Amino acid sequence: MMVEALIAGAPVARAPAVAAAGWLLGASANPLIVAGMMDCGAAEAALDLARAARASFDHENAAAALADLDVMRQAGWLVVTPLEARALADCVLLVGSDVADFPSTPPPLAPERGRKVMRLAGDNLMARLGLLRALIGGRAITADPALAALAAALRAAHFAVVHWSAEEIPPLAIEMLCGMIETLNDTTRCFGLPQSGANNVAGVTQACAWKTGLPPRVTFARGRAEHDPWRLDAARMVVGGEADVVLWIGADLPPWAGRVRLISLVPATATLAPMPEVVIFTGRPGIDHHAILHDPGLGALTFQRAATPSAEIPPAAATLAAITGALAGEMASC
Amino acid sequence: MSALQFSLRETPPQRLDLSALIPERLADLEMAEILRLSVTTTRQPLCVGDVFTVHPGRADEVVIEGGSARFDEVGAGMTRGTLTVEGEVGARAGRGMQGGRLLVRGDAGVFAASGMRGGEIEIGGSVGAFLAAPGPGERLGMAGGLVVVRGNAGPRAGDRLRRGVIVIEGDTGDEPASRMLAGTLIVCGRAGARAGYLMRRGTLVAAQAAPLPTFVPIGSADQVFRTLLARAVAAVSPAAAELLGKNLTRFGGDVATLGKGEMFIRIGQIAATG
Repeated sequence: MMVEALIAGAPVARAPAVAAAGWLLGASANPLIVAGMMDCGAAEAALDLARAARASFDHENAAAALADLDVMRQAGWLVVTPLEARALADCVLLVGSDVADFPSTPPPLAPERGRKVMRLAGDNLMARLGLLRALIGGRAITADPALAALAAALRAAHFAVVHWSAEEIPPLAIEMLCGMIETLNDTTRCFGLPQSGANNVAGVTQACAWKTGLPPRVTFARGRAEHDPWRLDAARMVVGGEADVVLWIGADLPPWAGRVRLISLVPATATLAPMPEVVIFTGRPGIDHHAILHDPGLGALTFQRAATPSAEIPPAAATLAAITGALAGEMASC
Repeated sequence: MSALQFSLRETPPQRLDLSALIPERLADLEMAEILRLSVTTTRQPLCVGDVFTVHPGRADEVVIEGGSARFDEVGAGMTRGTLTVEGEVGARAGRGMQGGRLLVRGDAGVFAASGMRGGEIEIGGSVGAFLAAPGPGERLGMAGGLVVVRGNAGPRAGDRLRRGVIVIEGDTGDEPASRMLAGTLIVCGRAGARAGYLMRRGTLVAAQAAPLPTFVPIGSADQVFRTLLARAVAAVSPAAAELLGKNLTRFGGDVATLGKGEMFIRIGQIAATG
């Protein structure tokens, strides 16, 4: 029989582990729920639990999602989905070394145009992005011929796409690119294509928005949803001793696992070192159970059927709902 | 009558929201009401009386004795009077301030003077990232007032500055004056890398800097402008006034964007491209 959960490293059934998790969260002064890898159903359940526990909520990859979001909400941007980019782009600029190569085959909806794929990476990237935008804006400025060629190609394109990863380049560089895209749209079409972050952070961000009206790094501590990317940064809170109990949902443990009382919802494959106070084994989204996940190839939320369905391992959403129920009993008895 | 004093009794058990401890909020309150003001940021209730010993005094002159990096929102939304902190403060000191004077004798955390529209802030120590920058989801940074930092500033000081004057007597982290829209930022020490990135308008003066390739030399600094600016800041920062009296060279940028910003750098202190 498979082990369902652990308390202080000792195997237990799921029910007492759920009760222990509820007790720990109920007794906490400042509880924190952190998503590593989680599907949208688990995100909804985690936010329900955060609201009930008056806890804070963060995603391990929120920094990159917030970098893109900051540009969108502070400066504005023009973006397309990956599908549109593949179907129509006749010129693709890959920025940085993290974004994967783009197929150089002609765009299916405009094959006569062909497709040019270019990459801009290396040292002084931010300064060179500024020079590229200045060239595209028609400024008389000295720049190396390679940058001038990039600028000419983008200007000559019918449908250019600029692709970046916020995990590699900072928000100011993204804002520079988005300003360049705006300038290019005076004379042709050009769009951004942000690469979505790891561990379904884009899906969790959307779930957080439809549950709270805010992106991740939210807290319900004062009885209402508040958003604060700096104060509610989970790693900062743990290192600063501001969170006393953390509920973690992920494929493996976070790097700061040994610094706080930890409840972990992880698959049986996770490495449990250091051993959390409570471990409840959960299914892997899209593998052990069906899941709604953000598909980076489509740029949309998609239903992902379980690859190897397992009725024995419940999804994280079910366990989180059970903890919310256990917590209700704890809060009522206070 | 002496100032209304709040003396910290011990290290706060959580981050505190001290936005209630400003002259206009305290003016009409009885002592019992002041002691009951909430300062909590977690689900654990915490009131002024739980963390501070309060000494009665004039509410238009507030003093907080014993600072902490967990003191958030000190002076936030302040419109009048003076608020002095005899120590360090945490995030968002003077956020959205419209008037009055905030003096922090120690260091300040991130987003100090964020969204400030008027009044004066003096930070005796150093300040964290995003000095005077817009908060999350906001489009404008500081839009008026005066900020003086005696020590250093973290990255992105003066981000999206819209109006007002900031003086940093030490050095700055990377990208000071990023996305600047107007106003004046004076750095008496070394400006960090990529100063003025995405700057549209406004003025950055630095003792040392490495201008980006999208800043172009546009001659020497105008003597009349420098004299007026030096006179305006001399009373609050002799170091800034002294810098403005030196030989400065002028760059225009960031030509990646509108390019109507000015950057003045002391001649002989222009480093290789940042």
